[in-house]
Amino acid sequence: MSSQTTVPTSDTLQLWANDPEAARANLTSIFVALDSDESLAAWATEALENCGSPLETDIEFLSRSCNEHRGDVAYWACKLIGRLGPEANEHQKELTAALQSNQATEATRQQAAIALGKLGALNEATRQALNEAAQSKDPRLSRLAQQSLESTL
Amino acid sequence: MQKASAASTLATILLGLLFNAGCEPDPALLNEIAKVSNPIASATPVSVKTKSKQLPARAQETVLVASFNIQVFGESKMNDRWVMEHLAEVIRQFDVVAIQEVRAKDQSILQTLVNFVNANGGRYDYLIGPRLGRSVSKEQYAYVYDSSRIITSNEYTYTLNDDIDALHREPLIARFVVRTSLTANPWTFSLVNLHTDPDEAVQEVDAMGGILREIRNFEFMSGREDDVILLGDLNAGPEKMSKLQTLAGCRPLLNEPTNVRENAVYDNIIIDPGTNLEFTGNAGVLKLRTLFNISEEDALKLSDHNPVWAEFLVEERSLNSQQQMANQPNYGPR
Repeated sequence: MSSQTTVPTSDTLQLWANDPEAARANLTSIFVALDSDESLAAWATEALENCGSPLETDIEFLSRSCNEHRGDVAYWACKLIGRLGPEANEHQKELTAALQSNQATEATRQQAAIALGKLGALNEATRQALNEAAQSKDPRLSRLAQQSLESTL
Repeated sequence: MQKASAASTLATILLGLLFNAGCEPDPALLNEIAKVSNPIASATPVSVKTKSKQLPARAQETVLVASFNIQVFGESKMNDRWVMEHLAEVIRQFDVVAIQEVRAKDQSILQTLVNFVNANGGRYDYLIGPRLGRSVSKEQYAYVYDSSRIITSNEYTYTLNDDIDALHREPLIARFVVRTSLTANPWTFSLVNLHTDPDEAVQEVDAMGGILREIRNFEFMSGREDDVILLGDLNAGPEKMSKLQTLAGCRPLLNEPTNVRENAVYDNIIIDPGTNLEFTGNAGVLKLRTLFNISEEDALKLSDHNPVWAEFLVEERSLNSQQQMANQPNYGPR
């Protein structure tokens, strides 16, 4: 994420929350707001909820953000990559790292598991990571990992 | 709900606390309560028709229940007088409003909203749930109600204990009684306030089939409440509610766009028409643009959702004993 990107105002974020196209065009700025004041982060979350599938040009940015464990950055990066589906198949390495990370929140690991299940064919390392996650003590992570394994057979 | 004795009221409170804490209720107590015939989960689902899309005026004979997702209801809206005055006017149209998306660090936000609502002499009050959500960003559910017409209490309000973590934000359940002099048998009801995660809406709505069934059984066993209404932002239209309908025996009242842009059915009010005999048949969407004669841009300053509503009679309408016999309890899985 560029450290040069300024934090958008609450009004701007509210506009983007109600304009998916504008939100997609300003994804990196929205991610900056995710890690700022709670009020801005709430609008950033809303904008991401409503923006649909991200632009192809943002895949690299999202892929890098999967393991930035600040605020909800990694959580949303994993979620948005998942929305891209098989188009993001080559980014399973970053999602797998998020799935296995000790620094990631439970919610981020769960989102990584969901996203991997949407990528289509998975490589052996990814399947191994999902198998390990399926043994997790976190019942939701375990369930989601199992579902992703089954959906990508 | 049928009349509850002091003993069953105590049991209600105890079970509410147990349920909230995730403990197993005392089986002996449950058996005692379950001696009452349970009209829930009738084998033959009843169809439901809505008659009117126009919001009726508030009347002594009826209660208007609504659901309103006030998109990111937090500091930015609280500090905007135009927004707060218009939100207050929306609330004043109804007797009870289930609110989703309270996203504020400042926990005085609901009191501030109620102060705006009561600025013209009203007697609205509120209930608010805990901050919920898996990510850092949290949300709260709330109920705002006209205390001159509705009785409720924190004692009868609880957040579902979602053991299997099927839901992003566990519903806030509250019990209400209509305050009326028109009948000695006022309508009682429980509301289940829900906001699904848009990315997992289908899975969550499916899961709600079994969960709502359990809530209905719990509400009936603990408080003899047969009118359990699910309402909120489900992020799903009726076509995605087949499990909710088959497992919980309930029907969505709305199948029309509920967002301000009028292109998606997100919000709904879901009842069992077989037990919820107080439903008048009137339900609809209150369009913010029409209510205030404002542009889409201004309406979006209030929310991207329109409120949805349904009308009910103030008097409890119970199934007769013959019907209750036909609808025997079924507490096991289907």
